[in-house]
Amino acid sequence: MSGWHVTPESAAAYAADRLDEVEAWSTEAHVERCGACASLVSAAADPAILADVRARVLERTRSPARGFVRLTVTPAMGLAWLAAVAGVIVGVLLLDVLDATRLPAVLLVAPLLPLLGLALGCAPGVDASAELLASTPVSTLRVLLLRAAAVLLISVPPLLVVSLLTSAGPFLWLAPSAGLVALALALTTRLRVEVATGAAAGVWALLALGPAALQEAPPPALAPGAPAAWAALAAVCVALLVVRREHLDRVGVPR
Amino acid sequence: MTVRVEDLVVAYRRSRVLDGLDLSLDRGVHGLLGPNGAGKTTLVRVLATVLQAAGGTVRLLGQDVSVREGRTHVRRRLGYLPQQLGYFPGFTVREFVEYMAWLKEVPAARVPGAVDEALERVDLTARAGSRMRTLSGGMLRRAGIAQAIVNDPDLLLLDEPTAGLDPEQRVGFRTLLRELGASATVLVSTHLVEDVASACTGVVLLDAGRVVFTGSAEELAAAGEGGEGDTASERGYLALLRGART
Repeated sequence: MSGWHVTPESAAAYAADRLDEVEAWSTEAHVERCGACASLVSAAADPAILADVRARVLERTRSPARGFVRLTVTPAMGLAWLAAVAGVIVGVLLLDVLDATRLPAVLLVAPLLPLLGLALGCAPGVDASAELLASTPVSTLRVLLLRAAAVLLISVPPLLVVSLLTSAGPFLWLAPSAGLVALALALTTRLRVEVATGAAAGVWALLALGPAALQEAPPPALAPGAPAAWAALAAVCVALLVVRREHLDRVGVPR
Repeated sequence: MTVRVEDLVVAYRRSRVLDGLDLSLDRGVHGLLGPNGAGKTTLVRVLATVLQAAGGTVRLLGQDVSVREGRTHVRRRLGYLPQQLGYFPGFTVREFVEYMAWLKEVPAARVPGAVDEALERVDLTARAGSRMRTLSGGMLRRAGIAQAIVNDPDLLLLDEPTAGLDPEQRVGFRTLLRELGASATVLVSTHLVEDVASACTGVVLLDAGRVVFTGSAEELAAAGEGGEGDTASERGYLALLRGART
């Protein structure tokens, strides 16, 4: 490296655009590898121009991180979240009107909300960008998992609050929520996403809603030992999802 | 050969939209013509890998797209403008094209330059900061073309790209097509025969789910001598369709 450095005078001249082309080129080439001189030139430059350049650089370098957010937080997902939150409110209202001695409604409603969110977030015709998304190399498994996680993240906290207020054990519905979402995702490797989520909801209707409507005692799906079974189902379905991920493609694309 | 399709079948319920279609395309700009319901959009969607065929083989860029690895490889090198462009209304034009570049796995360091170049090629640089929801139909189409070319694709599929473009923009678009066709295989599905005549090196004519003609734009024009139509290409188009139906 030569011993040549930018002087305060030449930095000021560069910032004021008073250097000839050769001198300006030498200055630019030098400041690319000399931090001290780069600082000197920056100090001489108009702060407004520096702020503008900084904003442009930041704008251009944040796209990968924002890409993940955009992939997850689609307008369709916003709708799904709204539906989930609205569902929680309905659940609370149900709790208010139901006899407190009966099975808390949150236990019956909570596992269905993530399924609803998943269906609304990934079903055909809901996500406007699904056709373009399907033509890109982005992994469908990643898209589904990101959106399922987003739905769970947004719906679980308010449900937890409701659950604690009503003394309904959170694990009694958290485990079936995870199990049913995993079941729906696994079924998506063979069925359309709206059919898969409907089938998972059907399982819940069969094991929880139906028995609850017919008898006072907790249904088998909400029995004290049931969370372990739901967790096992979730684990099996996730494994199945990973094994069959090749069959996941074109989710949400209209035929 | 960039596109090699053999005995392609696509069915909706009991009706066959594409029925034993064969097609081979190489570098250049190819116009895909045909009446409504001929299967143009269905064919483009199969080639864009968003629609699964019920039968036949589809090889793109040397890859079998029925295999996941093949599809993924093709999708990295693919540009696709669907007939109905899906977008997020709150995105700016730049954000939309950036997002598509990210999805297409364009290296992060190349994204800003690629987005700038794509926007410049469709003359949308001045509207890069505008929200998608504020764009006119023609501008939306150009934003769609920009996202399709942002990864410098080897295979570019454009479904009705000139819909909503004014005459000046269409002339500019044809120039862009010719540039793109020098290094890529471009398939343009359109109703506008004059677009094909002036910008395409090859023509594919579909009718009732089958290819009824492949050839050059000159051969299309020559096929209709003495027939009906305002231009030689239109006369050729009509004559070939009638010939295929008799």
